[in-house]
Amino acid sequence: MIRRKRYFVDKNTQMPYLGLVTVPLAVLLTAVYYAIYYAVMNQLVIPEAIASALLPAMKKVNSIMIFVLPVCFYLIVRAALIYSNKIVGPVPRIERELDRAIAGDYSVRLKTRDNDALAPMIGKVNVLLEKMERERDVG
Amino acid sequence: MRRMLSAKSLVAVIAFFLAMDVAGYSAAGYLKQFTFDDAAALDTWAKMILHGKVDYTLMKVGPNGYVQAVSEKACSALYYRVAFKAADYPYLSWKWQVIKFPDKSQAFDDKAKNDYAARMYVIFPFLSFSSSKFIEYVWTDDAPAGTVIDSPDGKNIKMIVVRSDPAGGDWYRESRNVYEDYLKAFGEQPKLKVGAVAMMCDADNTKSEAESLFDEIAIASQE
Repeated sequence: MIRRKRYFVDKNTQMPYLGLVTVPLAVLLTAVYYAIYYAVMNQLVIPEAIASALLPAMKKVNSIMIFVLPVCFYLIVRAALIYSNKIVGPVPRIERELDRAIAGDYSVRLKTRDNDALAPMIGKVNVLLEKMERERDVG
Repeated sequence: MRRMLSAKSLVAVIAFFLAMDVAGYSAAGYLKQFTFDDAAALDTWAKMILHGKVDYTLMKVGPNGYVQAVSEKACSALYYRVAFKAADYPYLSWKWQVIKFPDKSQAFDDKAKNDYAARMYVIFPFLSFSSSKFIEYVWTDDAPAGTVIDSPDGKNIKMIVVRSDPAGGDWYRESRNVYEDYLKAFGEQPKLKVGAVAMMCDADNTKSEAESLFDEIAIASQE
């Protein structure tokens, strides 16, 4: 069992997956914020009602958001790092280990963490390596 | 053959009137007409309570009805949602009467003075408050007719003083070309559709009383 040491392994590999989580979440949060604003504005109709009820409320919400948003942003990025790392975290190490196998060292075994997304596939690659090693020893 | 033709004609006439009704026409040239003669006339109008509740009551004089608005330190409106282009139906007409103006003698700034016994709104909603536009036709005793006032709540709200006659006794009929008024007030043609019209009587800022009457509101393509 390997413990996770770094959540950000490789910029080129992990960034697209990081974006896959953070961008939709950020868009969703913005869309929810705007949908609430628009729905209330549309409901109030009368400008004096919007100016006296909605705008002060939105000002208060915005002043709270100044403190809440950085926390939300931190949590989103942290979640994105953890989930993207589960997918692409082992990739650079697997590449190094596969390079050893390509060079002829079939004794190498790919290491994984249980909750990595690629764990089932890595297990099968290890079975294949084991089989290749056995066949070479017999031959 | 003749019977078949007359049946076809009848179907065509019914279809035409159905189409006119779906399109919202109540008569030639009119998009909407509100005479307030029917007991359920206010059912299609929604209330928006801002500060306290203004009493909007349907009154009857014989077969004719009208809306009485009484505000005691309160501010709330009646609005009707409708969608149309001001270029297609530029004329908004109505009858009104002011019984009592709010007392502005103790109000010293624009915000405190922002009470009117009678207002008619034309609302052009858009994605945000600042990008929406509003025209308010007001009857006031403290500015001459024809004055265009920026609302203290935003430059996207233009108040046009339609009447400054003293309160009491007489009904006045107004007919405004909303398209032209928008052009005059905002300096550009209306790009947005009208989303609602509203009537309001308020006296909340001045903490006083106001009373007005409204009748025969109509949106039409011709004056």
